[in-house]
Amino acid sequence: MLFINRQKSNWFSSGGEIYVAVFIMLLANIQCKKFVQLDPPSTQIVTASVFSNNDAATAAVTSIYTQMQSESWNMSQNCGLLSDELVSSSTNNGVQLYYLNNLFPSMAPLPGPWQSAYNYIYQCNAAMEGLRAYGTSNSIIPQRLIAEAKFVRAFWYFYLVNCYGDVPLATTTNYAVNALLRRSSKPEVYRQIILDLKDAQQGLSDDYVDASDTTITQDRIRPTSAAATALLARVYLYTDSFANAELEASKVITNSRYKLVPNPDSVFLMNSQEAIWQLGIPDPSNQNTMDAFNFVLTAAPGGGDANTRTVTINPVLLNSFESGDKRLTSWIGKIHVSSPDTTYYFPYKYKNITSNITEFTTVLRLGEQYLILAEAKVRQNKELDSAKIVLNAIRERAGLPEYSGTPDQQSLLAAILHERQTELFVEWGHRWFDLIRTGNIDPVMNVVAPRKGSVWNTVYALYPIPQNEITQDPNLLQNPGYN
Amino acid sequence: MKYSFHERAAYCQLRKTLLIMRLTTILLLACILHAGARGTAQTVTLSVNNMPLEQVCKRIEHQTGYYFVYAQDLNKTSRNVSVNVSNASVNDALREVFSGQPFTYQIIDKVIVVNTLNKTEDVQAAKPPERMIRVEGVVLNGNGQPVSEASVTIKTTGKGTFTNEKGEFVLPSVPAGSPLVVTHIGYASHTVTPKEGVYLELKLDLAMSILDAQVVKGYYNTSNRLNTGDAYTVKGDDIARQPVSDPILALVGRVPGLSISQTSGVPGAYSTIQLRGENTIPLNKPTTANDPLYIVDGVPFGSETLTSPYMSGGVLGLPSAVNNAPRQGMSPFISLNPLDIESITVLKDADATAIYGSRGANGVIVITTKKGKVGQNKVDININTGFGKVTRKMHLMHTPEYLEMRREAMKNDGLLSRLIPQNTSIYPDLLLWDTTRYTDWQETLINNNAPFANAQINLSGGSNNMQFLIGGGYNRQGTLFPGNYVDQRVSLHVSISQTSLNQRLHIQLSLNYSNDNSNMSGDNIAKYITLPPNAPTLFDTKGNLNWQPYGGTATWQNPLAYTYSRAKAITNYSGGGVNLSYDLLTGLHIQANLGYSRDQMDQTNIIPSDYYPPPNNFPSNRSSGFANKNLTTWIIEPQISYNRTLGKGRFECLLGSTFQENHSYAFGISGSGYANNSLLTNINAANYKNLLGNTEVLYRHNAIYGRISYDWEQKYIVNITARRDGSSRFGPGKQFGNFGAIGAAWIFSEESFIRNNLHFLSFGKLRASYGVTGNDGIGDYQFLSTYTPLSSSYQGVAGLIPTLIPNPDFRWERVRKLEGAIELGFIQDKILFTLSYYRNRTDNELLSYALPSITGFSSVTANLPALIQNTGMEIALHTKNISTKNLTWISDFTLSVPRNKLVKYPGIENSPYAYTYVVGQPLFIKLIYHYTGVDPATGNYIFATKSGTGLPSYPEDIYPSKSLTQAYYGAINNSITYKGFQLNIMLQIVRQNGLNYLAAFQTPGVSRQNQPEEATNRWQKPGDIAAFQLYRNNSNKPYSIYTSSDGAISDASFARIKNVELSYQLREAYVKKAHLQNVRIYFQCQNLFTFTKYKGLDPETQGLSLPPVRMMTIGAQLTF
Repeated sequence: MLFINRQKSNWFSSGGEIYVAVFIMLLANIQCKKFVQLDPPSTQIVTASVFSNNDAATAAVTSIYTQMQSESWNMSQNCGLLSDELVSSSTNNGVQLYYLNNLFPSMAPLPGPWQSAYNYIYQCNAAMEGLRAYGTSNSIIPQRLIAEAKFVRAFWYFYLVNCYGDVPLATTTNYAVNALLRRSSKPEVYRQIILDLKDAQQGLSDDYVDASDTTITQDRIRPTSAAATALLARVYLYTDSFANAELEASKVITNSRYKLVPNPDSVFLMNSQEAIWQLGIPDPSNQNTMDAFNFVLTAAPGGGDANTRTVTINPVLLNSFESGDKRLTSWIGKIHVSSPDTTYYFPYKYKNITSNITEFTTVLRLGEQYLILAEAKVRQNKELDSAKIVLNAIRERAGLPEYSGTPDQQSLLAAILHERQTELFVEWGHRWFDLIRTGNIDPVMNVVAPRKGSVWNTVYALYPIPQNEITQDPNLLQNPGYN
Repeated sequence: MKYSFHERAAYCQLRKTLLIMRLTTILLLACILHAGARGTAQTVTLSVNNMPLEQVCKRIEHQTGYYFVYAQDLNKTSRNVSVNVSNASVNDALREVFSGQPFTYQIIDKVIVVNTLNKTEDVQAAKPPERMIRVEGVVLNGNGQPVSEASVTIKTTGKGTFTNEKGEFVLPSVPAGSPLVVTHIGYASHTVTPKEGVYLELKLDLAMSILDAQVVKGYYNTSNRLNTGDAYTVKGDDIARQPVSDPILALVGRVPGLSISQTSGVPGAYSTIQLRGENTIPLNKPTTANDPLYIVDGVPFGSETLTSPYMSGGVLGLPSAVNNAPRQGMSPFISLNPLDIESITVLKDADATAIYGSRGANGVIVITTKKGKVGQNKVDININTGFGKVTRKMHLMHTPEYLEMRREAMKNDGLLSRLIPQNTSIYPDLLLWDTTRYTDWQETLINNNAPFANAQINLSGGSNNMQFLIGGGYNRQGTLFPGNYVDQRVSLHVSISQTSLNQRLHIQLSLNYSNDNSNMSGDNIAKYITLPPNAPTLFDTKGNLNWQPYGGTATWQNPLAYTYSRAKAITNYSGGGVNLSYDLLTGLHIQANLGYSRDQMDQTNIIPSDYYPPPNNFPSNRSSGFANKNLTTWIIEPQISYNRTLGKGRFECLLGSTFQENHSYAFGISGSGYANNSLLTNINAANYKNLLGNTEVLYRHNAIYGRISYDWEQKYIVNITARRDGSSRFGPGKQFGNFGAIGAAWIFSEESFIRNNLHFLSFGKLRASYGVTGNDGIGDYQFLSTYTPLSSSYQGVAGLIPTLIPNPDFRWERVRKLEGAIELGFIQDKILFTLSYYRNRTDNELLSYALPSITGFSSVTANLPALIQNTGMEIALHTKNISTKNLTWISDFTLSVPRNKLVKYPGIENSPYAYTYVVGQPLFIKLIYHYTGVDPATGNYIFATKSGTGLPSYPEDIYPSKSLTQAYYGAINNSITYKGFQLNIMLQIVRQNGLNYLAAFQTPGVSRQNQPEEATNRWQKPGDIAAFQLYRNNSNKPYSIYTSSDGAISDASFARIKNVELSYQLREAYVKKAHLQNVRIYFQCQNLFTFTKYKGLDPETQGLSLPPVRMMTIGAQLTF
């Protein structure tokens, strides 16, 4: 509706209105769709490109191991404090509340591995979905990576189900579904774990491979078919499926790749012959394992608000070793402080606190498989002699004489459980889970808790579900005793 | 005659142009009405008797091929025609036909336009013809510069014209003796009665009244009087009165509807800013999601902190990617020098903000910097200096009470037997430290002198065609903490305005640069004020940090450890805007805003090994971090606008487009394993380097917008804005949205029945506005499924982790704003009163929808099906209480009463917010337990439970708390001038509920944390009635429930003497002798005194944050 006079201005000589009209039309039409359509950010990679490329897909799976670096220390310290393995000298919530069996849903940091476990599980689900949708079809690698993701998913569901009891089972990345999940019963969760592990047994390589997924390497830092078997053996043991546990554990023990390392000092070294699956140290790193970094004391343990290097070995554990046990001297460190005269004992399976890398975080190792095999046999009350031999293999490595107690089922079982206490202490929560699954938790904790200055209640055997989860997912119910 | 022939021609030409426009419209209609009329003859032969006019016209059309254009009702008012002509010319024939008819006609080319003679013309025609005179003149401002587009109105007829770009106007026929009224936004109106043949030269004075002051309303300006929307302006003088380094802090309490809460008294701390409440659910959103849009000289200014997300800002905290209260990191506004600011205008309602579209969904804050003025060059120097002290302290326990608490706690838990030497490291306060020591840690740690200094020098001047201003500033503010920690800013501001000799081309350039250097370090020292009162000395006998080691391990965290670390945060800000405008014709402009800004922060954090307590103080623990973050924005806005008179009013329209791009980049790297402390500043010397993060984000915004406004006699005003916005934050197909607003105002005091009857009412306006706008306040790229590289590699391959849960389907959030207001002026505007009511409703709210961790992430970006409403009442009252030659007293009062409500949320019970929000309640509630007291039997805190016994359970026993936000807030500002003295006092009032300080404390006795003195009133034995539960050594459930119950919520209202300025202007006689133009000396104080019942440090910062600083300065201002 604008009219410009043709003879009007010096600048605006004849034909001027055309310019203005063009200007207006430009204004009206430069609603560029292109302008607001951006390329993906330069610092990220689109999911489809990640999984259509084998190298990138491998990076998406192995980055989970990078993220898992501190899980061994977390699980070992927290379960060690909850049970009778460790003592806290710190008043930091993250340490002391575990020690006093005083966990509550809204504590910070969150109780247990819930958040990180489900994040790893998401990454596994995303990898499976991505590889199925975009994976290269003419290569075996996508199938291997899917198997690896299933293994890791099973691994974390195992820890979830043992820490929290019934847990929601997320097997897709669909947040609309997952956000409203109910807790699946323990048997349902175990059913999924076993399914995943059987698939992983089939799909994973027998050999340890490097980042190419095909080239064989000495580093035992990627899961193999044997790792799936070893975890399956443990799962069968925990679910009272002893014949299967015996079968799977035997497969690992008879695999010539794995041998008990004679010297306890060498068990946790990188590429130890006993290791079935280790977590490599990501590069760059100026330290060895988080376990060594956080457990090894060079001075009195920190009090106050400290949250690392604040734990010492509980006298209950210290006194449970038979005399002459090499593990007592090899796997438990001590430091003497002169004023006042005190000796502190600390977990010392991982020893190296320098920056020169010699140790990897061991997740699955042969020693446990021996104890699973022995226990599975005893539980079935068959081949008790053979079970004794298996048990003695562990005792021998510890420099202990052969089992000399009565060879009946009860006594042998007690001996095996005691052996688990001294062999697997402060290692991924074995002691705590053993106490729960064998029903020994109440008698043991009723003695230990008062010494720690707290009162035991059976409901404390399970972690509380983080409060935020209950708030966000209206279908989730809290564990008894934590409301 | 002063004006040129050319200009006269221009005037006539313009009139002709306008006429043509009107006729063209009619022509178009004519074609529709009268298609098909044909004829060829140029003469008319008619012989009719008493024939209706319409038929006569049709005959003429047939004979001549001319078209008639007339209204449908021609027959109703026309008389029948009797005429007899033969071969007459068209002109002659028409004269015959129309003689005696109540119509005029006009022949244009081959069209005959028939118009009704209007009544006024009838009346005038009836009257003896008035003598018409021709008036020409020019309108100039105080500097002698032409004022273009000033409206010149003939008072008696209401008709008028506008001045051209040279300020000139011509009115060809003005009734003799009728006065002319000249008005222009920003100037006081001027009335003059012209004399025939005298060229008028009119000078307009700048508006002194608030009503006529200019309001910068985005891409166009208006005045308070004529504004259809809600805009509130704070002048530079009021900002300069306050000794603050962050200009945002100078707005506290001054703008109705704008709530600013300081989060800490540390220089550079980020304030929480809300304009008219929370439009959005504040959880899990980008920190800036509810921020207003900030515009500095036409260029958007990023309101997000530049503190790197990878490295903490030390005492200012680590910024979080999502909403966190209080905000962390350094305030970005620290880059702006308050003394460079001419005015800050806050645009609030739909009408005022609509031109900014989605970017202005939460309101707009327009910051305009100072410009040069015509006149002799002058130098203005302003220097002040002073120091700050803490505003408030808490009453904490002394050593005996503290030790008693600790021992009693152990006794209550049956742990006294643990007080043996082996446990020294656990209980050093009882077993190792000197139990006779007492230190007031508040005094030691947070009440040192915080120095403040500010210096500003401005050089300005200009001729009629060019004005300039060059300003340089220096600001320095220290902290209340021990150590030499300062935040220093050097700033430069340049403004140049130029107008071409033909007055058509205008260039306005402004450049702002600042360099802010903060060495604020390490830790939030305020948290150490609860150290045990018997904690060890800070330094040992050798002058080193005292760690009071035991067995080689420190027994406490020495609060001064931070003094061993070194931090630096250097912010460089440069922003420039150019506005080019060209006047094509009077009223028609094309213009372009071009802007660019870049804000960058470089941070260094150096931690030598002795920063750590033993035994962690080994050499390899030394480390350093380096990070930077920058934000670059460019904007291009071509516009065309057209203003003209239309009828008795003024018509304005604007069409424009915006292209904006924001680019942000953040990078961080840390190093460790340095061979020695002196190499820490060089990352190359680190044995281990760790990439902390690296992100690059692009955001683009595109819009086209138009505005039409019409102002009828400065009485009825309507303003319509429409806009189409596009944002890169949405997925394909969802980028664009259409929005718009309408505003209308009725200045009823201009109605004659009001003017004649209500003499005390000098101004009265009703206005209303409604509009819909979108909001894209969410993170970038949220619709894309991507992986982000990890800095560390596994098996030699760098890892990839999923960035987020993608959602390709989210779309524009919608905000609907409604406002109504009444504005009144009494007794020649001595009292000005505004009352406004608003209702903003947000739906399709975009947010990071909180998810349980089961989903793998804690949130996903989505639209929420909720409806959130913010309503409120705002009052502004300005009174001139006394106004004499020597004494003036002016008061300003503002009050805001905001209300917030979650109106609708279908399915909330199955949503993650089921136990966070309640439909019908504000978003600021918390669902908490109800605290009922201390159980006299057990000494534990007890709470209301449905079951009636035991501890409360979740969620059965939770209930919605009071709203944890302001119920109302406001301020009273008094300004008294007596001769050369001026006193300004501002009192800020806030009525609110907040978390009380107890929420920041642990169970008394549980750890080595000192407690409020009140906690001595604790339960000790059965039957005791006490305010505090029994002391406990172990963390315990009743206390943790207490901190999330209503026991931790209390009144946090306060009244604060926010600002005092006393100044004295030297008498002119003395000043002149010293060859100066002006000398002023002053005393300024910020946060002078706080009245509150809040226990704890400060009701504004709450918890254990450092309270706002009481800053006192003296200064002088010289002009020569």
